[in-house]
Amino acid sequence: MDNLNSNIIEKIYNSYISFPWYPGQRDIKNPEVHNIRNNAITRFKELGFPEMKDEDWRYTNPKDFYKGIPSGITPKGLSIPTKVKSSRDKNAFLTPDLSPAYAGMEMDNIVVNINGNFSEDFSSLKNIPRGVIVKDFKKAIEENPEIINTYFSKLANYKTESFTALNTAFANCGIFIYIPSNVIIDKPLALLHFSGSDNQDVLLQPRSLIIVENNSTLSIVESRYSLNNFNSNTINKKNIVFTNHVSEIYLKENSSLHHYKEHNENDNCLHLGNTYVKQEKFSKYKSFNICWGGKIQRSNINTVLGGEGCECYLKGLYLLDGNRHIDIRTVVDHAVPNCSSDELYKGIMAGESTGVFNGKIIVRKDAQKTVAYQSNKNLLLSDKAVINSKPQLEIFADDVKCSHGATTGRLDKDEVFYLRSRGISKKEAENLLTYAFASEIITDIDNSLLREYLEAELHKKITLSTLT
Amino acid sequence: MLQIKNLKAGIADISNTGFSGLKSDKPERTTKEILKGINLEIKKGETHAIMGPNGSGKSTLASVLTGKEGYEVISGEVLYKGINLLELAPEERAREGMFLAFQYPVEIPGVSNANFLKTAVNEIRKSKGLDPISSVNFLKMMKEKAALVELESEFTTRYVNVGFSGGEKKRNEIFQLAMLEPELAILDETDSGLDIDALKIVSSGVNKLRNKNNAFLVITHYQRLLNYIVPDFVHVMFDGKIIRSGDKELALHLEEYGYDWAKENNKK
Repeated sequence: MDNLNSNIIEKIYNSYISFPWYPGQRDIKNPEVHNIRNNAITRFKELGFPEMKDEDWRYTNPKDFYKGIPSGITPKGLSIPTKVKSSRDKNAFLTPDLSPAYAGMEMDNIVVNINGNFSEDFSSLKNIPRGVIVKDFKKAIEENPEIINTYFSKLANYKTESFTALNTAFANCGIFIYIPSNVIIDKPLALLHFSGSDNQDVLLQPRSLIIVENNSTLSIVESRYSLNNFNSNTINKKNIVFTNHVSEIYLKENSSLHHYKEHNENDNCLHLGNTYVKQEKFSKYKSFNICWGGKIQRSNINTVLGGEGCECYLKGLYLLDGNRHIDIRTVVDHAVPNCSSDELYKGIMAGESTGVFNGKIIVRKDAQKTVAYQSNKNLLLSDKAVINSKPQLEIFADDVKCSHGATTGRLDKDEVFYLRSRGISKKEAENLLTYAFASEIITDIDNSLLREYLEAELHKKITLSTLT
Repeated sequence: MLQIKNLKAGIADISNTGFSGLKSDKPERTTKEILKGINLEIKKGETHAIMGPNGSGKSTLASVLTGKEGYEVISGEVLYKGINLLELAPEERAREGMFLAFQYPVEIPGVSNANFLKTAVNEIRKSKGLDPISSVNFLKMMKEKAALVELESEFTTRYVNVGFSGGEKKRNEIFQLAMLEPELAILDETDSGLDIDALKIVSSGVNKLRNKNNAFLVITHYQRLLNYIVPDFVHVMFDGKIIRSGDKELALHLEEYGYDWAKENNKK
């Protein structure tokens, strides 16, 4: 472990023990959560931050994430900037394009998180069926201890994942969603995360816990944006926002979750997300992971198919330019027989962007009749862009249907010529083909309003950016 | 409309591999000459056919005229409507009214026929200073032109050529021709891979589009197509040159006596 690593760990540990919630310093409302936090900080101290020599971090330097962790980190997130709080026109700080998009979707339930804080002012929860809970995670710790203590940190692996340990130690703000049995929620629930700082680098560590009980259905649109006009107002200094996010998702028997994620932050944002999903019998998890923002992003999705008849779809699209970096890691663990999984990630890499795709399918010894597909396709638009793709299959059962593969290529010259021969300019032809490549992911989205929003956004990204 | 003067051209051949297969430091750029001095003039309202055996340079001529990457002109000139054609980018040639019906139309997954053609029509209109076509007029136009080659209207929402049969791909080429209304259309072996019914549909589509203001250059191996698209002139191409020109009777002679006859006849 090098010096920087151990210095920062020391700093973080000192921050931790100086909190009022440290044992003996305050009445503790939920001692079980505190025990877990204490175990997590101890484990984090032992683990330290990962290093590039670790196989999982070969192509992404963990230091890029942790080197800027400020001293005196807090579990509170950064408070909502006064500028935003006191502004009469609150929406002015939210990305302008966003409001029409979500208004168009006629969402009844919108949760707005600003710098990790659940914002009551911006959120609107108009149509929450009886028994459904949507609230700030820190409130849930105190108000719903029976559910929290059953699920919190039972899935997220802080024993081996150091960033998960770090998040767990400081787990406080975030979002808690509980859907009781037999509830169908038609319209998607929007979770909008905004971040930005105009005076210091920040570390945000939101925590999400989502439980969908038997026979219930939920759909979530989770988007990340930068606070508008924020960093650009600060002269000569760009404050880094590093979000270290952990989500735990429990899908009970015959439940279903559509989980749409969109990353649309600016270049000052670093994001590290660890999502842990546990599926029970006949449950369905459908994840769309659209990444076209942020400077450095690492997205880990771990799903355990733990009951027969589960279906798991992991669809993703990343579109990078400049010198952005992305690291996608997925693990689909077929633990029992008769489950199916289907994964497709497509990437468009331009400029000097770099990327990693590391997908693993595990089929355990008992998981006969598993059907598992995985594919990663990349389009390189420049000579300098780099993608490291590593699809993996680990099969211990003998009666399964599995396939995996990866392709990386450029735009097809014959296709470009065909379009040009019809009067379409070279640039427009390349844009059309790039759009076509990416749209395969988006056309698969059931919700037509969301699909149209993402199609328009994709079109904008391709035509306005310096992709080629 | 089109004047080709002593055109010599070929494939840019970058031979940068030594016997070991490794890249050498300085790739040598050479051009393999395929067209060895073509002379041809096409006027408005005319239909010309170019026949010739495999490897005679017919498709290379089509590629050079439409500006495909990888082909290089060694010498000679091509004037199209008085403009130096060879200086124009492929899209500029198309906007000036040139069209190539491909021998092997490519499949483009993710791009629908309608979206593709609307983009093309509007880019051409834009180059002429016209406003984009309205959706209503565009749909009307598509319906009308699709009927020319008996394509079902549902095909417009399908991706360009994806999952099309050989015949459908060729019909789609003629449909595009109808949509873009070019002044000079080059049909590159449009008859290859067509059964007799499809051949009739395609030919009748082309015939309906012929008028006194446009011209066609039909490239084919076989005389059969010329029974349906009757040319004003027939040229025989061999080893990169036009070795014989005549009227439609020439095609019949060729069919009967083969290309050897044309070669020998040329020598005399």
